[in-house]
Amino acid sequence: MWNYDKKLQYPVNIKNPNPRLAKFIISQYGGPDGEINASLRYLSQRYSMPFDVARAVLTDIGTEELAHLEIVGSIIHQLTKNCTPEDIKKYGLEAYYVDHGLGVYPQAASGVPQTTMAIAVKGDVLADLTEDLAAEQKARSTYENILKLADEPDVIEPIKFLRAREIAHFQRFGEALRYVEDKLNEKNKFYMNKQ
Amino acid sequence: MNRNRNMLLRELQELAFRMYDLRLFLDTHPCEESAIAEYNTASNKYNTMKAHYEKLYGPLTMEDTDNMGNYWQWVDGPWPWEKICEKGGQN
Repeated sequence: MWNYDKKLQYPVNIKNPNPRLAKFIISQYGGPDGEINASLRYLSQRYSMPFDVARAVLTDIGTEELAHLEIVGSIIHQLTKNCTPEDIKKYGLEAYYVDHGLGVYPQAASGVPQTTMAIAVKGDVLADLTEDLAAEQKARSTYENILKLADEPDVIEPIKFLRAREIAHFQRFGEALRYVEDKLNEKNKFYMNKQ
Repeated sequence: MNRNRNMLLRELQELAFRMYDLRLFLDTHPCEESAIAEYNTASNKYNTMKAHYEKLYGPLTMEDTDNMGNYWQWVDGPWPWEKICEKGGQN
């Protein structure tokens, strides 16, 4: 089960609201490679994962992604806080604003609402861990795109942290995959779930 | 949020992060004794720092914290997504 710790994993303090940045950063909240999808993928893959090391990695990284979701949500919130209808019009945010006001809604920058179709849970040890490696690279790539588009130091700092975490996660999933492959090779490579 | 609170919170965030990073490392290296020792040291320091912070500024978690007095402090802000102001109070 989960407990809540009443602090962000990394501080977010954005002195100047800037809705233009919120328009694309929201993809890491509800987009295909965003934090909630990452968390949901890893936490869901745990059940069919037979190896304790991999279960721990999936649980702990899945949990950390929720903390990252919160950081991204905080960024979006602070970028749009106290925005007036004039600001909304100026930055072309009418389509979002009419349905969500200044709320933080899980969607991609394109406007597509969060979709589980962007993740996979195959119930296969090798497929799931390989999927996770790809997922971390996709997330890293998305953060790099955000860094290319953002110009606010207050925004850049937490985004750089989040990008670095994706690289660390990639490393851990790689280690988990190697561990699992060694275990499978002890028996036979093409392990099948005995369902 | 006042400056002292912000500084203490920042230290807690850094230490908690260090512990979480160690935790992920230990998940794939469960027999690394030096990492376990490092984790335990950080954990002890964190618990002390956390208790000190909570005494001054209220609970960060409720699972391992008593509520002081007859008011449920958990509801109090600031909540983590709020901007940190130099002047106290919520903005």
